[in-house]
Amino acid sequence: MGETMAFLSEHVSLVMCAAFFGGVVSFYSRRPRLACGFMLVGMFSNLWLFISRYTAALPFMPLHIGLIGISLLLACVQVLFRRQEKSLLLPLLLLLLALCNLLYPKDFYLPFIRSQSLFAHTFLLCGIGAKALLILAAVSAADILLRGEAVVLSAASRLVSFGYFLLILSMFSGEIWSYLGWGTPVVWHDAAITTVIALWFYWSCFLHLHYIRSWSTRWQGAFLATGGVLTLLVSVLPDLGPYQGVL
Amino acid sequence: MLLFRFFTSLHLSVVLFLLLVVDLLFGWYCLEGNTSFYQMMNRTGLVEWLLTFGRSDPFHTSWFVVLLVLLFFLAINTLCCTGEKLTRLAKNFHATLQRKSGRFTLSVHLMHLAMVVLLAGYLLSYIFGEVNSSVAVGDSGMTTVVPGTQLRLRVEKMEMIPYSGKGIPAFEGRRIDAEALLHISLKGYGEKVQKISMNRPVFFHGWSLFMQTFNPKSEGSMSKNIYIVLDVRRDPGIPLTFCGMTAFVLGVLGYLCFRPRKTGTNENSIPLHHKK
Repeated sequence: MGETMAFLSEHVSLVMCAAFFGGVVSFYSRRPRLACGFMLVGMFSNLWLFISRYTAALPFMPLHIGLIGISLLLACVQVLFRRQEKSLLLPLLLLLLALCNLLYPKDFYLPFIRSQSLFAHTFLLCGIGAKALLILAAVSAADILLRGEAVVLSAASRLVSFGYFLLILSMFSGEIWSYLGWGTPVVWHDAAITTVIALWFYWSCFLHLHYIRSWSTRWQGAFLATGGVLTLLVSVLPDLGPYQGVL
Repeated sequence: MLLFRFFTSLHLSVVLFLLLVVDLLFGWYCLEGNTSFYQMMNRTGLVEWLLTFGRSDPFHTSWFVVLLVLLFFLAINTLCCTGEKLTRLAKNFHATLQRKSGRFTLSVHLMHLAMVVLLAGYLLSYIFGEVNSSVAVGDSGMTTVVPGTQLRLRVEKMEMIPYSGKGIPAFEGRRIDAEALLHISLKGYGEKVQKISMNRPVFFHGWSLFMQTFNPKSEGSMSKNIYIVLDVRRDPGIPLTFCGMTAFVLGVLGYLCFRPRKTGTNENSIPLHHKK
């Protein structure tokens, strides 16, 4: 069972990567329908990977699934809401995430038995949702910055607000899980904790910066884009396994 | 007055947030290969940990000390800003509650106060928390006395939970949890019998018992002894921590419900040094 899944998973990862590559090339050559078809294939491959890895690990929380989860949510947004967008940024990001997933040679890791808790799953799923929303906010901001438009980034700010809420839910459910399992709400020996708290402070800073008069749209966009890069790094790096050291 | 203005400054919050991000990212780097350092903090408490591990490897633990200092300043900054604003709002509290923007402001300040309560809870836990780690309780009916306390523990019945899934071949034949019927007694406080398992602690007169591991882990295990290992804790910071968490979530919900439509515009900005 495990070997078959690993074999299938590797091949589906390859299909996903090829589909996102096709999507990027089609977008670039201005063939929106073909691009949409490629993106759809990529999205369904991504969905299969996510569901198969998640169900294989049940009742435990699957490890190193964050990258695939974020990529799935971003692919859904691309297919459902950004089909008409001319920007290549999100398709390129999806290709990058698919490549990272392809580089990661082992799909299945032994989960730890203490992760069979509802709070552990909430921590993981809300964390994936939060990071995807924050990255999406950064992508929209970067799009506007690259186009040189001086428009208000209220849509991106709204995404940040909802992403922040999910981040809080993820962090607090992680704390409840940690308390019930280890007896303390914060376990400092897990690097994931420091990265989540770092993200929380960064985006808290963004929400505070709204209240500064000199906070221009350009600065706001730059801060959002930087936050997207930071969110991407802390989401992708831990899931790169042995390639983490190379980066 | 100048010091108060400094601590109510929004610029200070922004700088502190950014410094915290940098420090935590450095902490992420320091944690690589040194996780055992930080595992001990949950057992020894903050002061003891700083005096032992902090002294022995200052490079890898410095980020944590810096984190504590930054969080202290952030708490002062938050208290000053929120205190100043709430004192002003208190004069016209009913009118503030009637307005949507007033409810939004109150939600923001609820989040701020919740964060301070949360930090105070953590600090209390790390300074005044008592831990008796790795207390083994066997299935043989013998009573175990938790060292340094009057707590007496006995396992009355134990049931092993086997892995029933098919997705992870390595788990086949393994036990993934143990449910033990634990008899607890404390001199002068009576006794109690309650089920304990992984992620399901038992609480008894200020003490909390957490199952850390159990034995045997599989049917064909070499070690046939049946026992559970518990961490016995007394943590005065936990109620405060959970109050802080609940208040923070309520504050964020209020923030999302009552936030003004166009928060991204500079027209909605408010003067610096004025409010947080």
